[in-house]
Amino acid sequence: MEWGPLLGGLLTLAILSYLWKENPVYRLAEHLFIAIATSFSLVVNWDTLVKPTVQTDILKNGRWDYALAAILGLLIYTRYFPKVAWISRYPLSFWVGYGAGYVLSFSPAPLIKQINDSFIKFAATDKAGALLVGSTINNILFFLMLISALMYFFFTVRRENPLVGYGASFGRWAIMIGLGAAFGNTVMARISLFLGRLQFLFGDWLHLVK
Amino acid sequence: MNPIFYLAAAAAKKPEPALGLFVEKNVGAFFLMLFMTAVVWVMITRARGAKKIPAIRKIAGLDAIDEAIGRATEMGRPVHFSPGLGGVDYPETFAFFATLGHVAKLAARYDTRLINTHRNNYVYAIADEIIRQAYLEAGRPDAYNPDDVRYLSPYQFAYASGVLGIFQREKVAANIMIGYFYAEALIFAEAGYQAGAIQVAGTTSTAQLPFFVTACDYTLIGEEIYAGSAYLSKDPVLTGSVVGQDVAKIAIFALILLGTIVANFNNFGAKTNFLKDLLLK
Repeated sequence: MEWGPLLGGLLTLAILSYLWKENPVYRLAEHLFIAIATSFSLVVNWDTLVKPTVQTDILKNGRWDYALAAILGLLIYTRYFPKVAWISRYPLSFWVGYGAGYVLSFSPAPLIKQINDSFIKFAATDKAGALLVGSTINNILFFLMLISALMYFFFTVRRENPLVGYGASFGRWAIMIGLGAAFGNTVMARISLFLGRLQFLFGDWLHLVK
Repeated sequence: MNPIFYLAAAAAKKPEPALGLFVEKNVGAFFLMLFMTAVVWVMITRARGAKKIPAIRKIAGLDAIDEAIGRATEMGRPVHFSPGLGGVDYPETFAFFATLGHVAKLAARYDTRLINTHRNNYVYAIADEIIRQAYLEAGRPDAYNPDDVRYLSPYQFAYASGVLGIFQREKVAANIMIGYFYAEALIFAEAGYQAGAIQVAGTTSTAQLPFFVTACDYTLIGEEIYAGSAYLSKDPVLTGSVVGQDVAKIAIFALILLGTIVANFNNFGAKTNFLKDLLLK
């Protein structure tokens, strides 16, 4: 008897039992899942990050500057000692600063690319110079939806202005149409994931389908 | 060809190292960043000096956050707040931090439990600090419960299964989700609905927004989550930063209009669109 598929099948059913209501079987599967995932992450981090950094980089290759980062990281644990808890704010502020700097430095480049790509000519033509009606309509729609969706996100311009009001309203519709398309696309992907699980339950576990 | 020729050719073509401030093709991005920073700085300075700045329009999704906490208070049940899966290098996580301060202050004032769950250890530590500070500012440091700020698991679906359990076991009355979400978005939204919680969600993830729109009571679409902190707190300095960003947005809007006009008038006789050249310099 194969224990892997049996355990996998039973745990799948335990998780799916949430659809009925939260129950002890779900709770067992949930706690097992969290415990295994967290311990797995701990082992992976220890083996692939902490151990090689200390053994190879610091002790073998003499990169003692890495130890500074380790000390900074360890300072986070001072939050568990009320008298020195304030020290933990230093590594945290370092992380917030790093995050804000990272976001600020990497955000404008893709924005520039997007602005550039929006400079489109409405009239699309083939190599012979004949007008391509479908592509031209597409280009005009793209432009209208882009500027109206941008108008929707104006927070300081009053909507009483009819141009902004109607523009933002059209933008909202454009966004909803886009989200509708994304919804359908993702639902299809989710159905395929669900089918994969059913295949596991009825194929790998119960051997009812080949 | 003998590989040695490739090496020789590569060595011959190797460009001379040059000192300079700008990375080629990133100059436009640099000046855009500079412009946006300057506009935000000007607006913050005006707000600090109590000078007039434009007001932020009504955003229904943000008003709903106060309503959700109020409902949880009336029912005597907790509020759950999730930042999704984003780390500290996600701008959405900063929107979460900003909103969390306001939510935690309200929860402290109304004596309502706030359960904050995490999958990212750095975000968890920062959020814990924000909540602790908010309770202190609200004059209720005794009400702060560190056990309600929970690090569940670094793995997406393990985290999701934990949140689902919390929804039902703790009987949350309000579920707020602001940050960057992946496939767990619909799982949370559906489970929150099943638990009967009022749900306010906001993300910039276009793949997950449709699920929030369909399953939550109020949804903050994209950019709206960044206005949260200023809108909720009415703090003039924070409002100044949002107004500054909005001015930059309007400038980009004008740039797009201008660039499209130039493109449609055949670049006014020039070979290339001068705005494109300027931006991609």
